[in-house]
Amino acid sequence: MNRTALITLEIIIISIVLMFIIGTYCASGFYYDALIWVLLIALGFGAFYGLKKHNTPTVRRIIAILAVIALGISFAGILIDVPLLPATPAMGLTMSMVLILLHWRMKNQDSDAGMQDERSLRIGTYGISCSWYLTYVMVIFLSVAISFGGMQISANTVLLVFIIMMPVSTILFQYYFNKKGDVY
Amino acid sequence: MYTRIKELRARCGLTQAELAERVGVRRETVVFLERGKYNPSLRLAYQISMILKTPIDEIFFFDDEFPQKDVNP
Repeated sequence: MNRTALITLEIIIISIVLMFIIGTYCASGFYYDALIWVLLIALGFGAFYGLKKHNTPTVRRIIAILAVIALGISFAGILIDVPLLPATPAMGLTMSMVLILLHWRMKNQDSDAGMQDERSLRIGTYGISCSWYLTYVMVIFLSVAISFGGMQISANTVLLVFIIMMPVSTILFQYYFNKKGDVY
Repeated sequence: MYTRIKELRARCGLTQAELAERVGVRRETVVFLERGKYNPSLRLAYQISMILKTPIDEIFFFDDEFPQKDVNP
């Protein structure tokens, strides 16, 4: 995956975490949970730079296992509907996302995967352009459906659709062009 | 598009990674160039021709001018 896609993915994860933090703050004041999420993200980025000299397959495997455990705790919390303190489902999910990203970045650290050459720049730009066009088509579709089709949809749902669709479609387009070799 | 990059690179004794490093692109880009799946910029084509010591028009061929792929019945 090229650098633009990687940055897009990081922005998605940071956006999701920020949404949780802002949502928590708006709903019931500033929780300790929000602080822990911020610390987890900082820990993830700190670990990446801290482990740069110890980037071995064993360390990466341990990080991947920790990510799976965090994800497991998260899903267990969701399924049995009992917060597994101190790792609540949302925190488990956040932690697993941070660990997965950490694993991924460490894996690509020594390769040229993050390098921006003319091909990856072209693919990055086209991916974003295609995503923009898709979003525009979606806006037109929703506008027509709401105005003429009598579709009932809340503003929150529309926002959520775009929050998810824009970055995900960018990554998918960039992945497609990367596999194809060029944008033409 | 067809290219002779693979053949000329082998003649110069360069690996894909070495060629990629010398022209400042990712190795993956050289792989797609050799497969004829990526259209390089004029700058990249020029850099490749300089390193392989071969004129551009003897490295890159379009579908209608590739000498060995003449599909006339």
